Amino acid sequence: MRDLLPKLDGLSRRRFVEYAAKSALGVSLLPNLDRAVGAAQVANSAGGKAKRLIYLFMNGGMTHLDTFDLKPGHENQGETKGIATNVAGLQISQFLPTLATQFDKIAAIRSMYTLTGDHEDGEYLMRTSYEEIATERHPSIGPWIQHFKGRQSKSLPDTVLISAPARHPGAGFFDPTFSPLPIGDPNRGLENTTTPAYLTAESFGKRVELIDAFDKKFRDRFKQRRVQTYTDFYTEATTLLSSGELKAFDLKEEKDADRDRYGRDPFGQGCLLARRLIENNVRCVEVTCGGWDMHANIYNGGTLPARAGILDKAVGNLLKDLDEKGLLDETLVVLTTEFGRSPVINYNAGRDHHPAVFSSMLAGGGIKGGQFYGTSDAAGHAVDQDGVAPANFNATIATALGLPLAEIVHSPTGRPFKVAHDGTPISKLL
Amino acid sequence: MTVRGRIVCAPALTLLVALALLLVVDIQPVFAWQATPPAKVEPPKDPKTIQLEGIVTQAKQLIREGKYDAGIQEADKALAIDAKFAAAQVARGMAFNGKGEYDTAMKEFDLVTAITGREPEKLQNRADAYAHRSHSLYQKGQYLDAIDNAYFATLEKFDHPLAHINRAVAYVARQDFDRAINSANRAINIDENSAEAYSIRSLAYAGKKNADQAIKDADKAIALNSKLAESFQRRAVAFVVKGDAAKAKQDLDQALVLKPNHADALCDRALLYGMAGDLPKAMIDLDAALKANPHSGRVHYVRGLAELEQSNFDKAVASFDEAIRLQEKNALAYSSRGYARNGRKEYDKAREDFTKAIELDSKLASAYSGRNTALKNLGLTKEASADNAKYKELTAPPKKAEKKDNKKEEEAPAFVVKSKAVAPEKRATMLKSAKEIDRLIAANYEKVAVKPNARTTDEQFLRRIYLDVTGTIPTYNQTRKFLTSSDPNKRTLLIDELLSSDGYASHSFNYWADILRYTDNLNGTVRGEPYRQWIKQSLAESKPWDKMVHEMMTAEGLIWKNPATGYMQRDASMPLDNMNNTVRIFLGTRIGCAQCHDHPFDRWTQKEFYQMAAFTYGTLTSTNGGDKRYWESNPDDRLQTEYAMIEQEEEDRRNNNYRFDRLISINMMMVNDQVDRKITLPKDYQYDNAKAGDVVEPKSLFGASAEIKKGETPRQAFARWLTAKENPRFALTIANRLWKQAFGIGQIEPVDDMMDTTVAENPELMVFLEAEMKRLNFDMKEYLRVIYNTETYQRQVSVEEVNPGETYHFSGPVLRRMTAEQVWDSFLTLAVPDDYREMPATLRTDVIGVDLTSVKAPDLLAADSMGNQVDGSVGKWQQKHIYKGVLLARASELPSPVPASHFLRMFGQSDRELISASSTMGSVPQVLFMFNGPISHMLLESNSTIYNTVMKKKSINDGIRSIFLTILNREPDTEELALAVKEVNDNGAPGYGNVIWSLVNTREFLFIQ
Repeated sequence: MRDLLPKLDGLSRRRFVEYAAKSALGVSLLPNLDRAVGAAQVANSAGGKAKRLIYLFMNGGMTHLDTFDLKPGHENQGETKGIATNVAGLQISQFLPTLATQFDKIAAIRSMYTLTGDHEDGEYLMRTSYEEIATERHPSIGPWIQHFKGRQSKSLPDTVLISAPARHPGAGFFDPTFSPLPIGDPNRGLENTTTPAYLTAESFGKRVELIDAFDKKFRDRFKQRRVQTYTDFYTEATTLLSSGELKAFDLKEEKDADRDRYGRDPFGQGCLLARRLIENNVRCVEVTCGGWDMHANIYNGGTLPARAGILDKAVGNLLKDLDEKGLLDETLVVLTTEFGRSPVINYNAGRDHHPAVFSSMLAGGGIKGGQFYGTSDAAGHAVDQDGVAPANFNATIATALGLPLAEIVHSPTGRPFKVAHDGTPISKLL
Repeated sequence: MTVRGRIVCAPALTLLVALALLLVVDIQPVFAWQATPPAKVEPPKDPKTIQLEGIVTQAKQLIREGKYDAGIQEADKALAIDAKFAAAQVARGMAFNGKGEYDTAMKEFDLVTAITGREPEKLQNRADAYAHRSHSLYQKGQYLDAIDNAYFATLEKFDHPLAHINRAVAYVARQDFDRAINSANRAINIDENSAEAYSIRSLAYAGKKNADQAIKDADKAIALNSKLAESFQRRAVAFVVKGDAAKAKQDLDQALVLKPNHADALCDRALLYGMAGDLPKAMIDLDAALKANPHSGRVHYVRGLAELEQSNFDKAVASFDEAIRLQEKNALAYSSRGYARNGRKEYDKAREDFTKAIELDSKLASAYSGRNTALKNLGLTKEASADNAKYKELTAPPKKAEKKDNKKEEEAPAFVVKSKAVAPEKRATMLKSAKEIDRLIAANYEKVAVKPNARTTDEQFLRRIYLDVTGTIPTYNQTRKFLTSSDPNKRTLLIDELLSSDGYASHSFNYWADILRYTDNLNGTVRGEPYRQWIKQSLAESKPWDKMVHEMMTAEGLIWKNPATGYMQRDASMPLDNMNNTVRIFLGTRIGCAQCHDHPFDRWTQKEFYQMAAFTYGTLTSTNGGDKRYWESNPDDRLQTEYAMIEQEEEDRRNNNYRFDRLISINMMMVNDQVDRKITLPKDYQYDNAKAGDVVEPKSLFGASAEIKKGETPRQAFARWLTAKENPRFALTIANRLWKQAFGIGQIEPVDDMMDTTVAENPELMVFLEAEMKRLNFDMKEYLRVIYNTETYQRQVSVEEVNPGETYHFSGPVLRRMTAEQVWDSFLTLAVPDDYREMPATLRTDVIGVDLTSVKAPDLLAADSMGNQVDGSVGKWQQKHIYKGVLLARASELPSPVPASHFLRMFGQSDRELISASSTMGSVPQVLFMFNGPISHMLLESNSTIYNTVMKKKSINDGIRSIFLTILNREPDTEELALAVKEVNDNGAPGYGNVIWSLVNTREFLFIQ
């Protein structure tokens, strides 16, 4: 192989490293690279227009009265006013002006409810459809999709989590290879993918060659699965490093004006990164937006306007872009939270935890937009009509993605689970 | 002169200080009626409204011109048409403010907020009323209330510039310059052309002694509006701070050209004259100032100072009387009147004044000094000297304290475990036990027809024992030392050395943190550090396992008083889950399924689960203020009442409320037992042996029954039963778990899912291991010492894979990938010295732990702030251990859990949510970390541990050998050596880098042979 090097001078770094990766580090033992191809084709007749998912989580409990469920004239309303959307007769919060121009794509659910006012419990329930227990970890939606549909890309992970909390349920009881790839800071993209400047393609290739040589005796001696699978990881890693797909993680590839449009905050840039990843064959991206736990001074000092503004720019432009790029029909965009906030403004000029009713939204992926689903009562205190529990919400998501709701999957401990627990999809939205 | 000099000496000194101070702090907010933002264009109004608004506009114009009574008349016209026309009411209030009738003005403003609702169109009036009310209060010297009223205005309308400006003005009066700047900034954000906002910010910067910025802001204010006398007056203040009296005087003159009867400017100029010793001129200006504004407390005060300076004590007292009447909370005025009364030899009255001043401002040095004089003259020498000491303390330069702080920063406090060494005298017995294990294993080999693996080479053994005991590969020197030793007992000696080292606790902690689901945030309220450090120390001193578990099971109280309570706190308010975890961790048995229904694969019924849960169901993880066992009267109620009385801004009070309540809750997080709390069967209970809702009494799952003795809580009885040598699964479980730690596979698999039918791979051996555990009285170090000294452990790993479901017969240990923590710690061993330790938990808990029965509300708030400070300082201490944003510390010193994108998590460290949730599977991000991660790069930089080792070597051969010995802990073979040497020959020094990088990226590095 060393003899080949001079002949490779004219080749691009990308092709060289790919070549090096394929010829070095042993022979691929597992059909890892072909996982996507070999994946079972799941029969999905109903729903199933959505092929990709962008899941946006408003961490801390998004206030429903100040976003999607306004109560004009009611004393609970506080200072938020409504503005008209591009759907005649429907209003949302004044703090969501961009979303208002995209409302024809949005179905806002105003009758979500759960029974827990605890952040962690609520988040877990919303992400998995199951209550958190100490003996089993339930998977979040991305790994469920991978389970049913197989891995989508050879070099990119199926699910990417942006700014997710450490306690995110991730792959749950599924094999750790289903684990979502976490990204802490969207501006930094996928970490550890930059080789130092002093390493040329050739010297990187040489290093890989050295690994190969030094590693040979060990891997020849231990023909165990755990040892041999590393061959695939080395190969995938080198392929990824040399592939153009890595650019999917690099926001610097976006125009400055576009980055500004989404907002130069972690959530805005996270949504932009989500769009890039979706465009580049990643199937599911979740972006977390913290800062919704507003117990005090929500209007004064602009806590609410600022947070809602971040949401608005990011999600409004995300929907706009997906639509313009023709991706929205096949991309389901979900925005949800663990609970709402108390309708009565508290003593500290804030709102407290309120699971009895709250709002979420769905868009794209075959969802019928331009509508509100369900209602809360006049005071915004409880569900009035068409209550939606987290499992029903997730069943709607799963159906839109064409996942089999009834199929039972056993965890390694032998317990039976379903993708959306026992939820029923909301047919009116599909 | 001498007599006079002695009396006046102190105030004269004070006077100069006060003068400079006063120039800065005591100012008139002159913009009270100028900064109302223009109303937005609203939908068409009815003619009546238009008429009323016209009248009010006229009224405000009159007020602006100083024609207050005319303004009031005009406003009354509007009110005659519509008695609820709030804008007219506001105008009346503004007029009374102008007239100096602040109480009347406030009544007008109160009417506005009383008659208007919170409809959107009324908010402007309400906000105006609060903003102007803030001005009234300011004038009365009630600065805190003024701040609150301005805040209320912003609650009505957050973009009300006048509210922010008036707030800034009141902050300046309180000498809270940072907040004043903040408020001014908010006003500037709303209106970037607000001369008033820049002008007040200038004054705030002057207060912070930032003269340049102050002058810059004043310049900007003047550029925006050159007709504002106040901007000149404030720039004068900035010049005084800068020490440029001439320019200050010039600006004051200009201010007085623009507004000849500007009381503040006159007053300031009087101060300048006073500082220059020209008292006659000062008096002229003060007379003029008094004429311009007879209601200004400040003018009266300065006049008093001038009289005092001239020893006109009677006149001084009269002026101060008036100042105090107008500004009842002006500490300086009281203190100064005290000096005047000292002058009049009225020491009793003087003393009262000084005491009042100190009450208002406990840091007013001049008041202590003055009271010292008064007390001495009253013959109260003891009290006098106390005041003198206080005066000296307050005026002493603060340098020394700062130096101490710096030193503290350099030496980060560290929590270091105290490790117990293994006992040399137990060696013979220990070796005998090891031999017995080998005998039992060998007997089994014959039975199952398995051949043992060959004995490990020294290299293999060395690397394995370091990783197994201390969690990291050995260093180059440790490797060399062991490999070159010819001592026949060197393996046994090394095992002893490592078990006695701190590395043992570090590595064992990682193992138990995974099993115990240790998190730094144990639940929403309790932080886990004391528990974490208790676990580490218990492991380091090899606290007997039964004792350690018993402590966790029975611990009561607050976590910093009894850290073992962390175990119960981890499952706060989840008693059923907690019991499920307890049985799984300590008895290797899973009863979780029976929580909801009879166990489908094991014999446990739902009722049995509830009977077990009944032992700890009464154990709570928090108390409330009404708990009579801890408090005679409810501390929460008392503290809430006290909290309401703390003098603080409304906004602070609202923001602080949360952390105040939280700290009370934290101090109530005491694990305790409510004996009367009984568990009942769930609503959906479906079996015939009991009914839903039945109370269930505690009953143990197996073995002897757990009798609850008199005076014992059910939990104590349970703990006794759980950890007893007689418990059929307690010793068994820990003996098997530790066996697995050494060999990679348990005698019983899985280690935490035993059933009645479970049989160990080698039952005789398992019986012996369990007996050993009991014989050693649960000394885990000693037990591991036995295992590590067996021939079986010291054999090579098996080459063949053990497939799931297949029984393994221990021809040696199995090949394992390092745990996430072992990979991380080994990387660190290659890169940096191991010298970072976490902060002792006591540093924080000593601060936030308070006695709720006696603590005062302000102290509680202060405790919370100090707790935050401690947290903040951790970041500072960590700085020198941070490389490219990564804290270079052993896994056991890092937060738990680390973020999902951390190296440790990528390599499979648990998120600590489930028991033993760690993984040693490979992944692509792992390889990326190895290829390009910051630590991989750090290895190649000068000054890394491995770099330093290699650079000391004189030949390339030796350099390469040292690299192999450091990373793989073995010599290179001929082929490898040749390849690596060629690499260095071809590329020079970077060739070393390539070899290092390649070796850490081999599987041989990642796996434990």
